[in-house]
Amino acid sequence: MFISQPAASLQIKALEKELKIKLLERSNRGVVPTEAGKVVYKYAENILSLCENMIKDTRECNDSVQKRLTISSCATLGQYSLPCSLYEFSKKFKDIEIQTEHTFTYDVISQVRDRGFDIGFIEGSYSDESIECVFMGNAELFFVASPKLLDIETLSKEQLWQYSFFLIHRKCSLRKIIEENLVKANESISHLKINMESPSIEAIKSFVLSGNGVSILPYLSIKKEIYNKALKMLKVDNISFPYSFSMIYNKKHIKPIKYEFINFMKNEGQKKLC
Amino acid sequence: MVRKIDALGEMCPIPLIKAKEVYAKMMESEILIIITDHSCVVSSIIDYFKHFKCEVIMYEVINGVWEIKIVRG
Repeated sequence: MFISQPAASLQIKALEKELKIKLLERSNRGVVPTEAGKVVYKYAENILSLCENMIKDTRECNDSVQKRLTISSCATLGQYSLPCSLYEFSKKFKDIEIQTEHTFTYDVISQVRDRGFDIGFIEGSYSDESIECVFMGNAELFFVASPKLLDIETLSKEQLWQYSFFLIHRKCSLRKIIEENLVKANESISHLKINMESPSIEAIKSFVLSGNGVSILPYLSIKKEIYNKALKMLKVDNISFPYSFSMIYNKKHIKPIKYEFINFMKNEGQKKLC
Repeated sequence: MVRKIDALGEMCPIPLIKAKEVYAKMMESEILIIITDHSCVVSSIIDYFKHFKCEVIMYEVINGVWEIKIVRG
């Protein structure tokens, strides 16, 4: 950090004096942040990220050739759908540098609202006084299994609940979509034998492909396996998992290249989202 | 002779690059089939091969997966 521990302690004490609140609990066993300390830490992360983006964006004002777009996306869209649209956009706007990050939907929203990211792609929708939301399309999750495990395609939920489930991690918004749609079908996620959870769709797919269990996965992520018949989609008692996905941006941050991208996605990009 | 390119999971421009390489080695009336799950690949291949003396047929096998058949003229 290029600062000595006593110097860091002094800085923190000065901040505590300014804010008139304790940020760290100091004891023989070390230091632990207080509730206020945790709040300050969160703001500090936002401030540092904003600062970094401010520096990079102001550099662009001098350099008319180099332009930069920061995009945060939920993992499924980022991995399977977005690259095509980004490729088409970069063909049209050759001097743009695009930086992408994949994270959970709630984090995408934070990054766009508080940390200077230009564009976000999320499952579902979200808007507030800073964030504008643009509908991008509809998608669906399906119950999936390997033909090694199940040789039928239609079954009752009682039959399916016998199997081990490897599901998307509860931090992913897709998990919330799964739970909501189960409730709509008068079911509950607690009836599923969930043996494992992961934020990685590829990890879940490997598990299902080997015949060790079943899952509920977005169609976008399993097209190849469905075509190759390595996986099959199951029809279970009229239970379905439709959802929408959206593009979000901070309407308080004005940046020309951002609006080029937004217009591109509104006019052409939607069709290019695979 | 029928040549197949499995481009599932591959993003632009990789499938088009592969298709160009294979097409260059093909004789008249030979067939090339490209399988892709990206709509941008479909449009880039159709756009490219429309300038050539060949027949291009596109078929959506399952939702979001296309087979593009190119018959060299």
